Amino acid sequence: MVALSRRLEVPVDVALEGPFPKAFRWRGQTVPVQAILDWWQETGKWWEGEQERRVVRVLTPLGVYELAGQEDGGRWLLQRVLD
Amino acid sequence: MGAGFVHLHVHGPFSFLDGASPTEALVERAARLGMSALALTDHDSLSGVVRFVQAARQAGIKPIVGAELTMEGGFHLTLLAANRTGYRHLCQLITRAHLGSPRRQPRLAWAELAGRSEGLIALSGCCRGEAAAALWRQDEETARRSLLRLRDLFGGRLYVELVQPLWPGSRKVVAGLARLARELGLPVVATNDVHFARKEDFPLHDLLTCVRTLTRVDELHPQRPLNGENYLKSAQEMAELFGEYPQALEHTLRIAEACEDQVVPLGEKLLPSYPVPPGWSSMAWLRELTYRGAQERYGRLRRKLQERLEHELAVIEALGVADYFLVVWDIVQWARRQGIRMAGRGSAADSAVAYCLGITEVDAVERGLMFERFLSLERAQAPDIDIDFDWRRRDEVVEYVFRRFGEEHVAAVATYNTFRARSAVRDLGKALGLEPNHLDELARRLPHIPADAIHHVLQQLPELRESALVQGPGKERFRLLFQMAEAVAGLPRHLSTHLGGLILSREPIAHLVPLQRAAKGVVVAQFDKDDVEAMGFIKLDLLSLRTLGAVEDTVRLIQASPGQQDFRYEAIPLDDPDTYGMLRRGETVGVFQLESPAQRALQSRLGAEQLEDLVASVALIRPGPIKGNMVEPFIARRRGQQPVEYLHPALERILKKTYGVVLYQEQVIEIATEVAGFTPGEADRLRRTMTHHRSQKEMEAIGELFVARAIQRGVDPQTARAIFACIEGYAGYGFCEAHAAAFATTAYKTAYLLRHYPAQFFAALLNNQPMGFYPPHTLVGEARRRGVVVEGPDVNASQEGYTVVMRADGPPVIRTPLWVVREVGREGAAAILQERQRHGPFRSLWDLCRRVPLPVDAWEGLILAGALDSLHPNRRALLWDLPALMRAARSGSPLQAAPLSVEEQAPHGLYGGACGQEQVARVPDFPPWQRVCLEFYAMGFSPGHHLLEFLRPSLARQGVLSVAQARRCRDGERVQVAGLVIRPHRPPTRSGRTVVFFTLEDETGLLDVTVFEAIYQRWGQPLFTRPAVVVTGRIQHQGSDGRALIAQAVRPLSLSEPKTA
Repeated sequence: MVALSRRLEVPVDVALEGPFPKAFRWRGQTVPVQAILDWWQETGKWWEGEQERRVVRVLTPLGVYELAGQEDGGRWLLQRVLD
Repeated sequence: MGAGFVHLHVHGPFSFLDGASPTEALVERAARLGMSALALTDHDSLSGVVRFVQAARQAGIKPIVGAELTMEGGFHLTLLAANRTGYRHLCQLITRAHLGSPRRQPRLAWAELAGRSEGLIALSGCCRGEAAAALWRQDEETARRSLLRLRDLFGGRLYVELVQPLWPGSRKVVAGLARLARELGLPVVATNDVHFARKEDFPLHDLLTCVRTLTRVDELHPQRPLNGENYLKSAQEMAELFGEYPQALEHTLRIAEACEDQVVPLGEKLLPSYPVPPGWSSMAWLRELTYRGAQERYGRLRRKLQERLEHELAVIEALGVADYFLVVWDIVQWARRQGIRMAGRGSAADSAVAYCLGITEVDAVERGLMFERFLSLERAQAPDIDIDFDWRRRDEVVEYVFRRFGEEHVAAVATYNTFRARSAVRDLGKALGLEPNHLDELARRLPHIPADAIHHVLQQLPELRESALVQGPGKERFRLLFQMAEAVAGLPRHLSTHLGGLILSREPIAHLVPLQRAAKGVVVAQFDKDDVEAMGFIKLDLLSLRTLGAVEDTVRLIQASPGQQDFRYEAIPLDDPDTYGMLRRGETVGVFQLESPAQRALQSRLGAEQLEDLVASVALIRPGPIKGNMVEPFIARRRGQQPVEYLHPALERILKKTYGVVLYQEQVIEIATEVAGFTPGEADRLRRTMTHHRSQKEMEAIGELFVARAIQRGVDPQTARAIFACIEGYAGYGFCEAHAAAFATTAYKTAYLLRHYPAQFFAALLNNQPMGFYPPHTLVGEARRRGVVVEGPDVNASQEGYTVVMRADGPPVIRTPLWVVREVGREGAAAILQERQRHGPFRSLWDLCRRVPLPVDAWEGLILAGALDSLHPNRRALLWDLPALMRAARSGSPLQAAPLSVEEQAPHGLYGGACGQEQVARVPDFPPWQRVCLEFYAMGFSPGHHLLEFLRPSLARQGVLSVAQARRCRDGERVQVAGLVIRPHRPPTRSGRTVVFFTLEDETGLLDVTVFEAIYQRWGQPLFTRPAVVVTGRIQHQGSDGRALIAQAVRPLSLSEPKTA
């Protein structure tokens, strides 16, 4: 169970393996993904033109993060860090 | 080869605001994806199943009927009917869920499933299923217990439902359910809890969820979906989601296989047997009653009549509907015994049997009406009898039907309010966060059109095109609204009760259709009129008609007038010259069916002289005949301006009463039998094909048959083709003569009442509002113009309703009741009357406040309406003193205990001098203009004045004529006329162009105005947005007395206080 989290919404570069991240760049370093803990789909504010995005909760050596990518596999955001 | 998956959990539009795609779209997509079957599982409802079954069969896939039941605790359970028994149990369970719970919150106790699980396949439920919900809470023990309970109930017919909504944590829940299933030896099945057909339909589903949960799109709500995954996914997409659980996919096919193809009983005979006297069969008893009735109606039974009755009885017997006639006869007899005013309408008036049974009042034999328009062996369709009752007593009749035939065997028919332009704008706009007052303004400007026609009218109608709302800074949000409105068009908004439809069944209805409670506690079947007909129910239409309430009131008021106690509505002569004279002048405001501007113009031009003219009038002013260009030829022939010719001698007898014009549907049937030798049933099929605008190919085939048969009977080919072309042209527009005749009789009689008893008639119309074409202020103006004095409300004189005082030495008086005053209502008015009856007249405002506890708004309304004028004439002073008096009355100050005497009455003082205060507040009263405006505000009309009276001097200076002056102008004369805008509307026209019709009302009368498209586009903006206008145009004479104004320009008229010269 996750006790605390911080919302970041920071654009990050992500290396993919299939549809899922295998690593991402964060504060100048490459963070490898050790495991995909969960993933889901989220619809944004469709009434403002936002697209649906896939959110992936990943385990990394730095901790648990949530990365959100758009359907077309384009832009990724580091959405949340879970402490 | 079919897809390896079938959707077994699908919400259609009848999940009301939780299903965003039409049934047909779901079926079509499933078929396109190669699925062999599809289930429909709406929330606690089978409302969608009949059309679902029909659509699925048409698409060549197997329909599986089910529902998602809401169980106690709010948990969901998916049930599928494997066979008829399962269907029956499903109907019973849904009924119990609804009738055993508060309205709109169906809940089924788990215990109800016991004994009713046979024939049902259970899926353990979506994420809100009891087991799944427990696992979301990580409560595995509860989940296990829930599945065990379901296993006990359904045995091998229970499947653990796996839904993968792609939410955070949903994988864990699916895995947990699969693990439990393995542990308990239960099979799993995959579903997608479908709520819309395609992924792109998600925004509409989300928006509908906002409407349902009363949230705005930018607000959170737990029931709003996180994503758009609940669409009808392909087998491949489902396989990707459930790759770890291949059996869950395979089992969908196994379940589909296990469900029988036809679980819904369609086309069965469900009518109950009527309890006939011992020794009689239904048919023999019906024959007996028919002949008894014939004896009463006709005295002597002529051969022609006997033959007709025998023919009808033979058809009734062959169709097995004798019990239906007996049921209707029983209801009519009962209503008559209770003194409930009623009248049969519709095609039942084509039946001589119905006339003899007292169901209708149109003599079908004398009018030569074709029975086959109502019932025929070839059509073999259930009869449909419509009866109108006095609207205040219709519910008594319905209650009797429930009592007489058993509560379990009777139900009201449902109807579905679908999203139309106005409702879509209001509902979806609110959810999109648009301002309610902006939405209201926009909705009021929209015509009554389907929601997907908004884009069209936005360009077409000036009052919308020029609206600042749609063009202003928020236009993007409005654009989204219109896009969503288009998508929601035609989806049902909610279930309600059909206006008059009831079904009766020999089996308890809850075994065949689920029942639920509608507004006012009525038990309503979940099927609409088309569905119940498809099932085999025969529907009774017991309708409310306010006109019959008005007739009843008029008769009572007349009978209460001096020397009129013997007045009988039934004895009204049908040939009264004064009544026809009034009709010819188009003075028909208030007359049933003949009061619209189009009807008033028609009456002037037609020159009505007999009831037959009114029957034609009722049939002529309909969209069909207008579009079909039937009106002008009819008038020309009726007035002798065009020769009446017949294409064949055989047509003369049939078309004589309509001057050679094919106006009625019955005439088409008769022509086909007479000219082409069709049987009456075949002929009706021809009429129906034409009416429903079938394919060109079908029309051609019928035409060939008609011509060939006519030639066989000696008609020359050219004439045969010409006759067919004539009926082909008119049949689609023709009106049912029997229905027109039934309405025309009531129309004529109300005209007679208006002509001879205007005070009683207008009082009755005002008592039965809302009804008819015109608002109360127009009716009050009409009454005044007919010499009736309309008195405002008076706390010491008003009675329960509008009353009439006939005076020997003056004109009759209509007294307005107190309930018309805003914020007073029926309860407030009753409280005042009761107190007055108990303790005598009121002496002052203080006395009133002291004796009757009404809110301040009600007292203000009464003062502004003039209801206290007899206590004190200064309305503003009364208003001024009201707060202090109310405070004193509430606090029980000395004023309350002070004795009041006759001497202390107004006008000496507001307080009746009770506390020694002789004075009223020393403020001047409202000026006359303001008094009238405030009367309008308080009651919607002014009893004694019209607003335009006050503007008259200034209008006259500008050369603007009154309606009365304009009516005296020459044909074609250019005039300016001002007035209130009454009922602007844009009916369908033959050319398809927009034409606006409305009535201008001033203190001297009414003038109908026509605004053609070009003028409307240029000047029409104020017509639907402003209360009063000045119209420039040319006067058109219509017949000898009819007058209309053809608009050339329209400008708004300001109703601000007139400046004195």
